[in-house]
Amino acid sequence: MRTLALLFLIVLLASSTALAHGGPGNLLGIVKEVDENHMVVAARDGHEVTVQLTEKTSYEKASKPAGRQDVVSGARVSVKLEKDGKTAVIVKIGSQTR
Amino acid sequence: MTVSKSARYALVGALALLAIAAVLFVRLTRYGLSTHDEPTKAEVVLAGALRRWASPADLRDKKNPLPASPEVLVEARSHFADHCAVCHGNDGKGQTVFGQKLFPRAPDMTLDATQSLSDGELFAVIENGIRLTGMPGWGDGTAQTARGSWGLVHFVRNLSKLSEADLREMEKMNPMTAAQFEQMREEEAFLAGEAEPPESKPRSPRSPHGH
Repeated sequence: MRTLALLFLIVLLASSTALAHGGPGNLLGIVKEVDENHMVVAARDGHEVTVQLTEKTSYEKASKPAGRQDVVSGARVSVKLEKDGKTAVIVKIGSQTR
Repeated sequence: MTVSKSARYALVGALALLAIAAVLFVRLTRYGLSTHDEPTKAEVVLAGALRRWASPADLRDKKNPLPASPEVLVEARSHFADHCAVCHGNDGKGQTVFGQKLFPRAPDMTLDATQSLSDGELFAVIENGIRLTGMPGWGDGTAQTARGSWGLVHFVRNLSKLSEADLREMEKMNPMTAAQFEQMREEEAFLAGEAEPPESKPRSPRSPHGH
């Protein structure tokens, strides 16, 4: 019984952590650092997540195509991730934080 | 006692049918009507032949009467995103949760098996559906619906020409659950700077239904 309760707790904790990052495959947050291949995003729950940017990653700003150069530190972003949870498929770029 | 040649053929035929029925019976009782297995080659060939044979004769060789104007293609694309993509996928390759659970699986419509069908055969599939598959018949006998189906025939013909931008545009037209809609609104508000800063607002829990 105790083992079952422990297992339940582990599953609950694991799922709540995943949800805090915006659900599987999606990440909302603010760009802390960015270079050619990576960006570090402060997720909405305060965790920092390193996301890989590849040549297949596409960018969108105000519903229009954008580029890697539009991702700057302090920008709000929504990132659709690959199944690996690390590689960006689409980065939607929003307003700049003050 | 002599048995005539035709009686012998009939007997062999009856025994063969009995054997096939026995195999089908055993499979059915053992596996039920599960959709988990891939269709066998025999089933694929038989279903393909039956579909071709069952297409209405007046449609089989019919060319698409609707001109493939840019407006028609745009309209068909949004129609496909809204009605068809849930099984077929925006790119028509059938790699969706629903499409891959159907029996038979939703096909990759960019491939020859679909592209080799005539315009009329594609129209018949869209209008009338296909029994015992997941394909519904969308036609209601009106000219307006028929026009929509002919537009979809053009869309299917143009699947391989879809750009990344087209696919992204289609994603916005795909049906959404209430949770997905809420998520989209939340994302838009966040990107626009209308939502609270990340640290001060924990994300609201979503439905655990992970399909």
